[in-house]
Amino acid sequence: MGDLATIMATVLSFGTLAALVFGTGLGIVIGALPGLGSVVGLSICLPFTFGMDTVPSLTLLLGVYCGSVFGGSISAILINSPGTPQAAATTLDGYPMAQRGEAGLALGWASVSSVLGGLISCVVLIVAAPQLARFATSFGSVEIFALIVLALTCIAAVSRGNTTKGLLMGAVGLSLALVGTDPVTGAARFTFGTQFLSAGFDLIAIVIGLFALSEALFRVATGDSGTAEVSGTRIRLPALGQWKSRIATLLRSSAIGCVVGALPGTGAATASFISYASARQLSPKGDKFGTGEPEGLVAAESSNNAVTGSAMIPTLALGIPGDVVTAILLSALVVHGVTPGVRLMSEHLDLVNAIFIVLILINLAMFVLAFPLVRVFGRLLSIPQHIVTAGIVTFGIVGAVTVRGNPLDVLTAVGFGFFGLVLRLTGFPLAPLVIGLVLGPQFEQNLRRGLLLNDGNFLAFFTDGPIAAFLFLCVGLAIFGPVLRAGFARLRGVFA
Amino acid sequence: MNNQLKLGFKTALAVAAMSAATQAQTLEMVVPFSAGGGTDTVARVFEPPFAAALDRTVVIRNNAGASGTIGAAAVAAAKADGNTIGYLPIGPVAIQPSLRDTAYGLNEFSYICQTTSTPVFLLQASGADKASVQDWVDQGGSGRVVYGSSGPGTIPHLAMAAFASAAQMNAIHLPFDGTGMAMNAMAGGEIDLFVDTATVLEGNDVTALAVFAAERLDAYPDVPTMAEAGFDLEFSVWQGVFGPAGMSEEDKASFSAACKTAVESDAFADLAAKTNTGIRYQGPEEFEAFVRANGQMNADILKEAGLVK
Repeated sequence: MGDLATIMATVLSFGTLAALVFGTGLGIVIGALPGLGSVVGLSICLPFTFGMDTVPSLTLLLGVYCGSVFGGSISAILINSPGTPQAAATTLDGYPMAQRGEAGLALGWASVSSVLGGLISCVVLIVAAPQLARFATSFGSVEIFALIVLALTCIAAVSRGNTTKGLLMGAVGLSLALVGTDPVTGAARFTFGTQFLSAGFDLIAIVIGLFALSEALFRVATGDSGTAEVSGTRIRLPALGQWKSRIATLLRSSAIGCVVGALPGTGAATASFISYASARQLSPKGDKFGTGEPEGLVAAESSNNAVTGSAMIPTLALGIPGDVVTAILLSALVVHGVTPGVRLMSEHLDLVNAIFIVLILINLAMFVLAFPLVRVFGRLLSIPQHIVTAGIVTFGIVGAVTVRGNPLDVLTAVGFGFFGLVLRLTGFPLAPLVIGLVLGPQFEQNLRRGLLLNDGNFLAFFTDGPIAAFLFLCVGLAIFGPVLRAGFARLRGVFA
Repeated sequence: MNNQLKLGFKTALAVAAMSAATQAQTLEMVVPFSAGGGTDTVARVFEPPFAAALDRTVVIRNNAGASGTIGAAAVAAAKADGNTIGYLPIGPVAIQPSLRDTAYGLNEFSYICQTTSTPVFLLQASGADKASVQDWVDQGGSGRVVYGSSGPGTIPHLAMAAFASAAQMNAIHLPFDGTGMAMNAMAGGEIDLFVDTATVLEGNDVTALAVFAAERLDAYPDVPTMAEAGFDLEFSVWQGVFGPAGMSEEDKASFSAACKTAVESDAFADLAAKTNTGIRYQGPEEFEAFVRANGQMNADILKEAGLVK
């Protein structure tokens, strides 16, 4: 780090700082608008980076990425519609808090957790990238499958009160993920012979319909205004004393985000589901999760933002993009003549160090920018309710059509909007459907690859290796933990 | 109220007229993958010199999904009025139609030009204990070989499937969601072999055993061809410009002339060098003959691999 001064000089140039502030702010806005997620944001910005220098263009893209992951929480809290799928778990406790009139406080918890989660993952990235990258490659198909099963146990955790309805919705989500192309044979399935369905359902279109459009429909159907009590929102930071009992969850969730982010094929949504489920089970406040408990927000938001830093681990250390987001970042590197790969860290150490510093600055900028941007969104929500509702519908539909450029995705969004309305009116939870849908493709692909490798013997999964065995043990504890705990408590009662 | 209604109508008419007027000048180029993907990156570098040579505004529309077949179908179904073309790679044109029930076939396109052709390599992990193609053939004869791909029906899959059946290896195919995840599996030892371009070879901890080309490449003189190893197999990933069938000869001629200029531009050469992409221009007739032969070969391999009934 002898040339720290030169690195700082590139990072602190006007172009880079402008890209940093603009990118992060734009990312927060894009994330907060239902339908425009991280990938859409990066795709919009990518062509503009072709004419920029390497460091400012990466800064812009990283800012948009990190900002959008945080931004999703704003709409999750204020209008019960996650701006991005990564923020689906944030609605569970964020919106109940807003309904209680504590929207500002909920946003405060979300922004502090997001920034701390992001910063923790930056530290992990800087200190342990090569080691974690090597650890991540030891996750084969069987290990990832076990991890996805662990994430699926979150369905039980988020379906408060009615586990049957929750599991049913999870099954619907998993089934919807089957529509499209068979990942092993390439054949079209469940498409009813249509070209449109052979591409599968678009996740973003479904999330828009299920959350944003059905929220708008619900307001119209019930005449219930969810916005009256959250008008003129400002972020209120939680008192330091409030953190004391929740610090364990923050650290655990950030750690989960760091590990999951470094693995291939998983991402911020998976991390936040696992983290939410584990926090609900391990925290003393677990019973209150889902009723507007800040700790649920801490669990979701610190883990999904911790993914932003650690997703860069395999990307920078091995040149392997773990998801679409990092693949776009790598293509930006290629356009600037930098070959990403195993030699990136040795041949372009300056660039890698600049990325480290930029990531830290982005998280700090995010914290500062959150205040004015949240006020703007709060102001937007204080305009008459029918206009807000119309705005939600407009943005939702524009978002649905932007993702793949397919107008039929609007039909998907509208269809799921009405489906979501029916679910809301009949008391079915929405989050489990999204969990099933998000995890479905990786669940199936890793299961089928594992079966191909083991000649179709599923039992061989459990003897595959120590990592898989550990993860399956966690799955067992997640499912039977409450039963075991009750049993122990009774035993203690007997012997006491 | 009545006046407002009239005003509304007039505005709508004006907007419609304006969009019709601009449409006459704007050429829409469909890219069947999302922005930021490999095909998209090349298409975006191809677009400026192409538009300059045509003296028209060219707008890239990303129409992604279903391995590129949604975008390719949009090109095939477009009006052949010279206002819609597609920048399409091998997959949706010459592979997917034999793999699934696409709404189009090779007869639904006008062939404008080929832009790139990039040969692929047979890759193994750097730490592998094998040194040659023959070592793996032996392994596949006595035990089993696991190979990955970036999805069923991709060139990495087809090339390996053709090699496995030519060498009569006991081979297992593990499809992944893209090259990145397959490379992760290779680093972890889950897959033994993978086939991809020089970009993947350069960017990952892998070594090349052979190249699926007729002759050794200038950039890699030490890598033998598959034919030298005893398997006469050639595979490359290519891209080109297509239009809907029935396009006028004048349109085809002016597009292919502009395409030639764009392919020979400095910007295109620069990108090709950075991404190890092979530049290759072919005019309408040669390109059509090439695509048809290529599509037939791929269909035969898919049949052999048991993916097509």
